[in-house]
Amino acid sequence: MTEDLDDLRQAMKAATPAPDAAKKAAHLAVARKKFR
Amino acid sequence: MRPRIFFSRIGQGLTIGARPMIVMRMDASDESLARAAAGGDADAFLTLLERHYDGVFRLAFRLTGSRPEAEDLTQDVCAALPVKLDGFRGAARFTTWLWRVVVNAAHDRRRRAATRARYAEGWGDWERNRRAADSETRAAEDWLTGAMRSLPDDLRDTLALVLDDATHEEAADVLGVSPGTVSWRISEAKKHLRALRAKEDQV
Repeated sequence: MTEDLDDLRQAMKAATPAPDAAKKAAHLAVARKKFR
Repeated sequence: MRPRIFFSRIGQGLTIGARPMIVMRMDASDESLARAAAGGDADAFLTLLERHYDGVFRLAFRLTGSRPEAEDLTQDVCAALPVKLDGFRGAARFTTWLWRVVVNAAHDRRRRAATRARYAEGWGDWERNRRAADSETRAAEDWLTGAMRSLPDDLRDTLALVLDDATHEEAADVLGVSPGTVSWRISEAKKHLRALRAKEDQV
């Protein structure tokens, strides 16, 4: 296993998925509604 | 008819028409948008949230280690932000304040999950099956995200922030500890991950 923090950062970036577009739209809609 | 001309509430320059121009919103600082949002400006709030949504999700994923949990946590944050923003005073950078909101929301979810688990004890097969399914899900995840779930909460939170490119000083601000404590926690987290890997390699 890599011990260096930069290597861990790279590994974590590779493992982190992009947000789902539909979920994102739904969450923004929830936030918009709650803001009123 | 001549267009009505006024200054936007966030002080980003001259705007024309009934609403501030979007392009000016995009250039506005986080802090000015947050102050405008705290004052009731819905456009400023949405601009700010759209700007940082992906970052909130990324940090949520690093704190939880799973997409479904990260999505739930991100939704919690989105739903809570309108009220939380009332408490933004501009004393810290907006992102420092926002990451603190995300970390605190993660703590709340862990507490609720721990409470549910305690109530579930004694439910026999149902609980055993649930844990087995959870274990299988974890086995399929990336090693690092799975291993981070095994860290104590304080080490996991600290590592999640630092792996998200926060400096030790920024992580210290978010967590309310000293930079020295952040450095110690990172060192401990690395030791823990190294030991876990060594143990797995022996099997």
